[in-house]
Amino acid sequence: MNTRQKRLCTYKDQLNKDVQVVTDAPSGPTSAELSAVEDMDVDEEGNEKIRFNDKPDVFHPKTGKRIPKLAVKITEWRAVATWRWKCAEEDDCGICRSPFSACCNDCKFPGEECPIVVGKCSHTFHVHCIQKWLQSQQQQRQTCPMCRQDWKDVSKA
Amino acid sequence: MDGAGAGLSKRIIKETQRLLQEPVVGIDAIPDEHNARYFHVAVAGPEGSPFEGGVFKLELFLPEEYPMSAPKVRFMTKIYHPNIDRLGRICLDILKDKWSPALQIRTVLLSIQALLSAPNPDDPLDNQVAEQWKVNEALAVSTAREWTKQYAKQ
Ligand SMILES: [Zn+2]
Ligand SMILES: [Zn+2]
Ligand SMILES: [Zn+2]
Repeated sequence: MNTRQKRLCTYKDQLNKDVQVVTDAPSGPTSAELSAVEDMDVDEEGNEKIRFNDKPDVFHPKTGKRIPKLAVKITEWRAVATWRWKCAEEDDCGICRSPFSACCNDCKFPGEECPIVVGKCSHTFHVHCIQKWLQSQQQQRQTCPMCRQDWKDVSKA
Repeated sequence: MDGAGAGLSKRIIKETQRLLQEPVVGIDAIPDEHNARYFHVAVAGPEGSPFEGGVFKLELFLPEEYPMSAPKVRFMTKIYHPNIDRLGRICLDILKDKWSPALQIRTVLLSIQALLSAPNPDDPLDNQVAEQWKVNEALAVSTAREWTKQYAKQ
């Protein structure tokens, strides 16, 4: 089964992102095969997930056999050039107005140093931005800037 | 780069650009040449209000803590309004305890414009004007109109 050598190839996905794919195909997947990959996501735990187009199955006109949508098995993939946080809704931080793909106004580089947090109300902010706001609130009640509900960080749970 | 507050935040730069590129109807907000945290504001009196036909000058200042604390806004033009006092100070909850960093210069100015359309004598800042507004609204409205003509002409 695993006698085939794994191959690494790079291609551009629909969003023109560079994606590296490791497959078990002898010559790497064809572009048609790769176009069957609709989306790749990294969930909160950093696990990779690949979603495929849900186009209906196609059957071979003569043999009646289902034509596989993806002839190769993608065993691993790596997004090289871009990444994004998986956010609840808005793509901009409601406090500093910078996108989550960028860092808050006080940081220089996006990424793990400037993480984002999600409230119970599902509003999302850079952790540095919401911390600054919660610290500046004189009242005992700590509220979400967007909806004024009590703020509770649920992203750590 | 030099820590919080020293420079102009990206957010302020963005807000300023948007204010200049897509201005709010009836509101001009121009940053001062020498101080990017200070804005010269002009709000047109809303149609149907006693302030219609007037242009009211305001000053808006973004404190160092902005957006964690509200902008400081003051009417420079004299105005007869129950929620604005003789010094031009404005009684508006979002400028005080209801401030949120999700609000912006734009939303603040829109709220002030709305306050001109809907004076609220039950939450007054100027008690005399508020009293007049409650006792004899017609007279208060006509006084506001007169003041508009007298002080808020371009
Ligand atoms: Zn932020
Ligand atoms: Zn940060
Ligand atoms: Zn919220």
